Amino acid sequence: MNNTTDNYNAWDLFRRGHLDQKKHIELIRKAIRENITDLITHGKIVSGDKIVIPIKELRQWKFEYEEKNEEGTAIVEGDPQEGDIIGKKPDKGQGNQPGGDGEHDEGYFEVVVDAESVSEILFDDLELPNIQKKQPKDYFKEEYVQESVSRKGIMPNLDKKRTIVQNIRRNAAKGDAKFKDILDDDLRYKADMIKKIPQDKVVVFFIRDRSGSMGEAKKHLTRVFAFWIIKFLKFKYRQMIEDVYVLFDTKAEEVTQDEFITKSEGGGTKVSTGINLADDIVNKRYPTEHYNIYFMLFTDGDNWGEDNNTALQSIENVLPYNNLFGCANIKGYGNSQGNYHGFFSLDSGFIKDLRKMDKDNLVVTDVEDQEDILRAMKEFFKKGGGAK
Amino acid sequence: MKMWSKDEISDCVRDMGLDPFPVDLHIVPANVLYDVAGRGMPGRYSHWSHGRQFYDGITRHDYKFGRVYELIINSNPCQAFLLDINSEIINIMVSAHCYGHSDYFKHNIAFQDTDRDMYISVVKRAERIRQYEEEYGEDEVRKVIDAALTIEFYVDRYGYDNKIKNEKKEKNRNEYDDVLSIGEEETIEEKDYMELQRYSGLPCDDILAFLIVKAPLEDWKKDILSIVRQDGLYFWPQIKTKISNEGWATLVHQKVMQKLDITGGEFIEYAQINAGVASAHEHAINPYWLGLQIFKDIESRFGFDKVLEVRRQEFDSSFLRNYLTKDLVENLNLIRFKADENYYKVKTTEWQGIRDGLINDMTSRFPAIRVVDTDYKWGGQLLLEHIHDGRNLKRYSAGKVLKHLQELWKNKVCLKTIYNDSEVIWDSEEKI
Repeated sequence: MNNTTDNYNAWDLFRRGHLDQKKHIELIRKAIRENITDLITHGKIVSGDKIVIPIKELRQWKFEYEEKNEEGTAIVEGDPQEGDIIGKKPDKGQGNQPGGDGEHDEGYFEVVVDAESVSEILFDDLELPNIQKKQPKDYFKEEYVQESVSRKGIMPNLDKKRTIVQNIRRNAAKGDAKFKDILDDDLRYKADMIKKIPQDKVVVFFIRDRSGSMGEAKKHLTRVFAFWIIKFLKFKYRQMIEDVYVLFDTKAEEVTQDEFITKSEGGGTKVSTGINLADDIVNKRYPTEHYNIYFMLFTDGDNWGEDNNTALQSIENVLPYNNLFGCANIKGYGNSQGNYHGFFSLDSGFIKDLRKMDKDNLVVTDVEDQEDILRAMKEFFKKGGGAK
Repeated sequence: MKMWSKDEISDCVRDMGLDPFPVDLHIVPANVLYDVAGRGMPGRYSHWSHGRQFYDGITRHDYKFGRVYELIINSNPCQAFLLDINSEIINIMVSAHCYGHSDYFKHNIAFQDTDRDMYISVVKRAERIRQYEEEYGEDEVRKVIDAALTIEFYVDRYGYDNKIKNEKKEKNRNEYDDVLSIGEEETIEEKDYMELQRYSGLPCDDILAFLIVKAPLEDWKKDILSIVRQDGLYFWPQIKTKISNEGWATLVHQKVMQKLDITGGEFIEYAQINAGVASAHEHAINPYWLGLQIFKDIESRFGFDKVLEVRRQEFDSSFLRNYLTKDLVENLNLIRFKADENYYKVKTTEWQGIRDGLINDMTSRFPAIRVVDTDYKWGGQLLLEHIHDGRNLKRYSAGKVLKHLQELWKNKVCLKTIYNDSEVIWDSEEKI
């Protein structure tokens, strides 16, 4: 077919599409920046690295109808009768935060954000305390660093600035400080060197109460909290962090990250078992003189009375090699029987005693809902150390 | 396969009895097509919501879902945009489809008074907006456009405005001939606030016109409102005739393709696309498909001349009312559904209920809202009224719209509506 062919240059007007899109993206970035903490407090973790957050201010608002009781026309073969079900409404948000307000679900559109790429803005004011540089002989990373200047080299490595400076110097010595008449002697080259950069070794232990009292809502909070702690550590150390997962009820076991997130069983609670197992693992695999060690305990405060002293003792045992021992007291949202929105729970005996311990590297913080997580992280990781 | 040229397609449709405007076909890359689709018109002023639709469009395109094959603008000559990666066979089909649209734009009564030079006007208006951006800043301009767009389609939809404008245009023909005067000349609407006075009586459906006349705004802001209003006016006939227009164009392209000598792979490709375009979707009635079925039914009952008459006379509401018959509803297996908390359930299988439900969907897409008072509570507040038809408005978005309107009215803006069976008044300063 004879088509009207167009010179694409004539469509200059239409680069606008990309300009409009840029504008739109700028606005998204601005909205994310201004509500950066929404990533932590409202973000849905969808996979490894991606967070979905609702951006509520970027919709083009209109008068519109509510969606419930919506009607429409469809094609249904056979002999449909009034009242027959022809389809299911799509789920509104999986992994619901408790207390999700139906009204606030409206008017949002969702943006998928790469957690890594927003880390800098997000974590700006949080800083890891107590980073002791534990560097044994073997733990170096090799990197090419532009460290020195040499007079020999190949053209791609020409250090233009230094060459110019050199040339001007020489000319100045002759009384005419100008850039001219380059001699071989003026040439300066960048020389790469392999440099050994000491690496910090870091390991984080996530220890969770998996007894029945940790219901879905609490597990969800644990998951989100653990996710952001890892993100934060990876970002601050700029390298892979090792992570170990331990579940306990009256016994403890090491598990995978997935199991840590999902497993749950009935049964009692003995915190000491979790701590002791973690301690064992440290002794076997993570020499304390080489590793920066962090323990993160997630509990809803429940502990068998008879275990309290043992638990406190086991924590005391591990504190000496811990850069930070954090205890997240997940509270408020009921138990495995159901959700009690706004249920206020008092500190358990265990938590009370833990708070009394008053050590520099021990932090106990309450977490009631996803919005608390940011505050909790700040408490754990306040700039300049001094965890209280 | 014999390759068909644009002229041959044009001849073919004329042989069928159509009489389209000439069609300028532009084969363009995806980013251009989606730019146009995003903003609705080539060259239309730049706004971030267009960026979002552009982004949505491109993303969907990349993922091979819901590709836009063509875009056509109502004008004389019609401007049609085809995707450059379409194959030949697809482009023939799409071109035929465009000729169908062109014929519809030319003859259907809903389009009689539309601005056939829209694609020129739109560029001029974009230029004015750009100048305002330079003079007053992008943010200031954006605020006004954002506010205006909340009521983009609350404009005179009966066409009186267009009629008057076209009569004036005829008198001033020279002004529009010279496209090179973009940006220099001022078009009629911005000087014609006197004409818009007609819209200042209460109650008033044309909220944009009302604000242009009555809101305490600087001239340049009023001009922006009038530009958004012109776009709304331009699109209304297309909104009113979506089903029959698309059905018509699909019928045309199918008939043209039947005359081609296609075989094998090409035929399968065509059939697939045609099936995708012209097929029914679950839970969402496909306008191409429904319109096509109705036209085919008319043709088989009354012949093609009747079809030609129908595409001239009917808006969607009358098209459906008169030609979506009991037999057709039953043959197409249509039902009306209603949603509750978790499920979609059959509401009725009775043909009139189904037909009327569809008509209602088409005609009350936008909640009916009008201005009823400018001195509500004797404090100069603007009062809007929602004519409730059984469906509640969304509280949150309504609140947002009212806040935007307050920026234009410079005083509180209230909305009277019914929510969960009781009368309520929402206002622009409430926390939502």
